[in-house]
Amino acid sequence: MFLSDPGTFLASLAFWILAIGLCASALSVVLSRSPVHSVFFLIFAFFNSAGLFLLLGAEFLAMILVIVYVGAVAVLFLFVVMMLDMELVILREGFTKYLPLGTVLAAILLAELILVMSLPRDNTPAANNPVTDINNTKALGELIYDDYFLLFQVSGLILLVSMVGSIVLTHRVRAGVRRQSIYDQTARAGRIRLEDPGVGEGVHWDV
Amino acid sequence: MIDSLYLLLPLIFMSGMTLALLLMGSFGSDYGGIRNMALFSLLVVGATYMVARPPTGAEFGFDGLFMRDGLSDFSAILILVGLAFALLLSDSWLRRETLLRREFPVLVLFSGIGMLLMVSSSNLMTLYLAMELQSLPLYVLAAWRTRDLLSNEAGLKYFVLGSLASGIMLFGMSLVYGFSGTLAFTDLTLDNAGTVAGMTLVMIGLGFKLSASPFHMWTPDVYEGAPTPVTALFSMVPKVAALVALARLYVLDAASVEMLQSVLWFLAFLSMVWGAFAALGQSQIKRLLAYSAIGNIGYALMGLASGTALGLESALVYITIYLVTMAGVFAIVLSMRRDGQPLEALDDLRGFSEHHPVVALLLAVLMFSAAGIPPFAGFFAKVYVFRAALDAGLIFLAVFGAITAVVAAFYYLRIVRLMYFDEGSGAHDRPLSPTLSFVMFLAAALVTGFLLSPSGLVTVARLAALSVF
Repeated sequence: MFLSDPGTFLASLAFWILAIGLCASALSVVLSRSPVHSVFFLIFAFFNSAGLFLLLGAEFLAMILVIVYVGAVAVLFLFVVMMLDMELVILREGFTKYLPLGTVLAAILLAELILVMSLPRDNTPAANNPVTDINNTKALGELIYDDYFLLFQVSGLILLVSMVGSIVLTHRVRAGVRRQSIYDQTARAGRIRLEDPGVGEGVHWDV
Repeated sequence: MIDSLYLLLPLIFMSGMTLALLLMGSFGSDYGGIRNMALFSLLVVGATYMVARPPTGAEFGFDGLFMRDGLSDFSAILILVGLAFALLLSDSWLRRETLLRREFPVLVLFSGIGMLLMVSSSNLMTLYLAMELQSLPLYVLAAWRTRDLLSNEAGLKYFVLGSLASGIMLFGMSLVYGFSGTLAFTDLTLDNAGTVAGMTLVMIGLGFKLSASPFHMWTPDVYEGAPTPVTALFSMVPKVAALVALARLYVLDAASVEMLQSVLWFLAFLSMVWGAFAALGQSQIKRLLAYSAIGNIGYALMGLASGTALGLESALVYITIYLVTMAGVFAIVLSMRRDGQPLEALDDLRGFSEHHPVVALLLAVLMFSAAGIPPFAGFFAKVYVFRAALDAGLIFLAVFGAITAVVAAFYYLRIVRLMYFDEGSGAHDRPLSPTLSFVMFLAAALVTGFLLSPSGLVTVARLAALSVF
């Protein structure tokens, strides 16, 4: 059945590989013994879900997921995890305490999912959007950099203000900080003297 | 898009100047130079607003994200004047407290860009971003004295409650978008319950920024904890921007006035009552002025609540006079020092007139004006507001306004009594900084001289108000 259409076959093959990879890595995030491994599995989960987004045709979300979550957030996690000296025993301490609540929440989520799946599908499109050949990266780009150019610039100003503000509030002059001062380091003034030996002095020849 | 750029000219110039000042600061220009450049750019931006104005009526730019009309230009000039006052006032105080840092004028200007954008926004998205740009530098400025616990508390409290307000506002905007399908002011109609609920939430968010009761909780603590020049900035400028944004949303059309009048009525009523009664027990000048701000916003909102051009005009006149009065009051508060230490308690004003008769007279004039005693400007401000409210049939609100005005007059006049009739608490430091003296003289002169030609301000405010009706 699959073999009749190689495109569909490849797509569903990719879907199953990515979906199984996602579930397995998500489980491993929770179950693995070392926090560092957890973060690596989290990154793997991000990659898998980015692949799933690609299959859905949402290539912008896929790129964002890889760039923002893998490139920034997960790496930040990794740094934090590696810098904190975490005891695994302490991490696992509340496991039994929160198990009943967690189970109830998981059951509710599962029930909701089953409910949604069992409802009759409404296949009419949500909005009357004309289908064009513009892909969603281009569409978003036109919105952000063209239609809402003003708002984009204002957001930039807001980010700049938050940067300036946080530096102003946290920066202070500390004593004992070694800063590079090229002049001080290369200056020889005060350390070098010009001696003026008198006539017949200054040269010693010990035979 | 390019053809609407000229509408944005003042803001483009101001952003460019602010970025240039930021660079100048990091390359080692001194504070004075940066402050003077900031003042100069405020002047130029004001002139640009005067010159590069839309030919007729309201002019929209950027697909309706941004607009310029009489109201936006009037309030922009007012905001620029307030910012200039704030910069002039902060100088000497910050120097004495060794808080003089080059980022101060830059952050004030950034906040100013946000405010100017706020009064010019004609789309909820622009309004939200402008409000964030306006608020963020103010949070930082509130915590300017980084080693002081109170100042840190002020910054943190302002930030947390301000973020809460932003959240409420965003929630309201998403409701509006969900129920009406548009975010542009020109397309909005309040014809279903969801949109009305959303607009109410947006107004609550703006009420936070205005420190209108019952969303005023942060005001006394932030006013008290923030460095005094920053408090002066808080009490003068951001209120104008928030009030104008609120006015724009309120008078979208006849239906919006009808639907939202109860919201404004409630805000105005509570602010007037709370501002009058809670101030009675205060012993700190800055806390007293915080409650005074809450009460005064109540009166401005009462004018606005009438929903007519007359109401908006009276609110604009009221906020203008309030801004000038506060500039003078803060110039005096900022100059109060004994043995080099800033004085912030009401008791320090005891017997003030013995040692400083001129400054005491100026403060007395400003207090009489704030209390609404003729012939000072504050009296006319209140009269205009009451007239607008009575015209629109808000009789109960006007009556309560009159009662609370009498209560509020008590604590303003108590300051006069302390200065003139109480035993002295010792002389304050002399001499005063020339800039501060200039601002206090100017404010007192304007407040007194308003009687001579009240029609100037009123006419300009009327033109501004008529541009949205």
